[in-house]
Amino acid sequence: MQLPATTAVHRAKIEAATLLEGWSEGLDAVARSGGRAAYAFVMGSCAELLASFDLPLVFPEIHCLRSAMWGTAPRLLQRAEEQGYSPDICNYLKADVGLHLAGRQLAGKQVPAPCLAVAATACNTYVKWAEIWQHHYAMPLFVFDLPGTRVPGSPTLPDDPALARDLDYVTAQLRELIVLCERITGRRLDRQRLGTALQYTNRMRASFQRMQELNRRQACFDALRHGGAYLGVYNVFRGTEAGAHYFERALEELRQIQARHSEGSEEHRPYRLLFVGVPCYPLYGDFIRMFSRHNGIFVASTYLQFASGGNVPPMQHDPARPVASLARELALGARDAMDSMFLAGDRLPVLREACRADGIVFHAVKSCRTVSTGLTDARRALMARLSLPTLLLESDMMDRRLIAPAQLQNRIDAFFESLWLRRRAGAS
Amino acid sequence: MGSTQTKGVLLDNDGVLIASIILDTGANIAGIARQAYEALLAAASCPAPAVGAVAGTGYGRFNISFGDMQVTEISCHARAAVYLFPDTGTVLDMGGQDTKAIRVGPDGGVIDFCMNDKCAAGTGRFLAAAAAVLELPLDQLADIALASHSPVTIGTTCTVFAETEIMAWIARGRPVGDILLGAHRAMAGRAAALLRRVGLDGALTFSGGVARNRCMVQLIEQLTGSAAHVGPQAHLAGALGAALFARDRLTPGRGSRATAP
Repeated sequence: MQLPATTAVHRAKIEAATLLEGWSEGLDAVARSGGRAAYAFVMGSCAELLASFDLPLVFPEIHCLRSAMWGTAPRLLQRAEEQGYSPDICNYLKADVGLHLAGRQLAGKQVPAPCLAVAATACNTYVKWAEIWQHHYAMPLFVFDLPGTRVPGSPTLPDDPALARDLDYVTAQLRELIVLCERITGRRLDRQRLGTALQYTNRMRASFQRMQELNRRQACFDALRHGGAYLGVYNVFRGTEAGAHYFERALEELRQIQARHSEGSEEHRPYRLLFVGVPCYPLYGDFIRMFSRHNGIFVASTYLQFASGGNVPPMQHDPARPVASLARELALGARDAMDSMFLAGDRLPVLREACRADGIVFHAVKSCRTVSTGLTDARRALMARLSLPTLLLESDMMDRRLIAPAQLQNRIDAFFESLWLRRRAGAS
Repeated sequence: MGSTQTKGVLLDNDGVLIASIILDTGANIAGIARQAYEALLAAASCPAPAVGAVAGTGYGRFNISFGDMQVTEISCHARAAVYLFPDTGTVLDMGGQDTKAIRVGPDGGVIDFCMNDKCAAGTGRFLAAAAAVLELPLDQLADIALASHSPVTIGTTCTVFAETEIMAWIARGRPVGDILLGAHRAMAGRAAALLRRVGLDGALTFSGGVARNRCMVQLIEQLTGSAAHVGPQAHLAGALGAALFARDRLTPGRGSRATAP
């Protein structure tokens, strides 16, 4: 099989690395001056609200996955296991525990201690994780109780009578968080500033969604290779002018790439793939190459949705009603992130059709039961509906010990042999 | 090129088996590949230039420097099974280090597959470990096991710890046959679980070195409720599949002859 042509260099990926490095340096400065930060998770982060109080933001999940990519996770995991944390516990959590036990140093930079943590019931491990900080640092923990889907097997509809009650419930909780932030920071909520932040989020979301739509039509970025960079900026710079400009430039770059390149003939065009699950961060580049060496490119990934906080299209914030709007996104975003997993058997065929995927890769990770538990059911449901090659891989997003690259490569090679035979049969 | 043994087959243009070879793999993977190839040609009195294409399979396939193509053993076993037994819908391959269940299409294409992960329990290595502990040759295990009617339970999921468990049964005075039948049942149970996971569809073909074990064949059939095709060269199925892929390459666009002549 032919090796793929070199993927166009993405300026946005380089810019993302620069932005995230700047974020790390900023946190380092806060830590060294004795300041503290708000800790948040990507689902239910309320980044715009927290930033409007000038609270520096730490995203532990992002720190953990970066440590896996950099190869520094093993010593963090070991540190936590020496403390007594079981190998069966979420490895994001364990790596973070190891980080705190080792003095909150990551890649030569200091991570500030928390003054506040915000979690959500979207993931039970989030809550237990945040409680560890609460024990360690005696700081307040705020947990959003986000109601799940009401009707089994169906997504929430705008006219659902239960939705109004749920939104009131989440709005009331958001107001409690605002009171807590006001107490911690000693300043009042600046609604106008929050509204401005939400406008920036609107711009980011619109650009990011447009990028994903473009990619479904014609591959111009790899949802794993480049998607990780986009997600990092989306979460960390959510609600900022820098974030809005980044995504507008990234969108323009993709338009230019599409204008310059075509996918090639049917025989030689890349295999368009859909990724379901969390990427294999300990191998990251090698993992992506296991697919790219066969001319495979991920044109869509469910990870881009749920790891961006449940990117509910086509929701746009109303900056004139910032609190209500943010509450709505919290409620529907987390619900949609959960629905994307629960209803995967229904949603994946639609997504597959939209991106004309040749195959679907399901990647179960030992660490995350939230993501992995329903994966095989979703795959079976999909296989019952579609005659489409699918591949189930099992590894981890943090722990290198749980990953066998040779076994992964062998399975991936067999998957592409199926794709190749299918393409050949279609051509003859 | 498997972890334990390296197998080679030589086919003529009609897909008829001319010669085969089996060697222990050892540490010098590239060397043993060349050695097996030369021995195969010598067995068939076939000069090297007469060979049209060479395909390598197995974990060591990329070490076959003289090969024209590399194909995973998953695809090769699927292809070989349908070639030998055209009604095959599901393949069970139990080798030295891995066990795989494969659902196949009528053309030998892979529809779905799953393999043992993370450990060698349920593979030939498990039986080899049992044989070592009991100080018995591998080719006697099946007969001894089949003579038993009271198998012990081997509960551990680890091949290494299974040795300990076997020794414990010996210490308790249980007959060797009971212990061996228990070991076979443990393996068959894991294999049956893989088959159910991938879905039993159509006829079952059992391949790989362990398919030559009569006791294992019987147990698999009992657990799946399905008779199993076992060819006389089940242990060569991977190599046969690779050879079939190589034969395809000689005639581009050729709809590969799906079944044996």
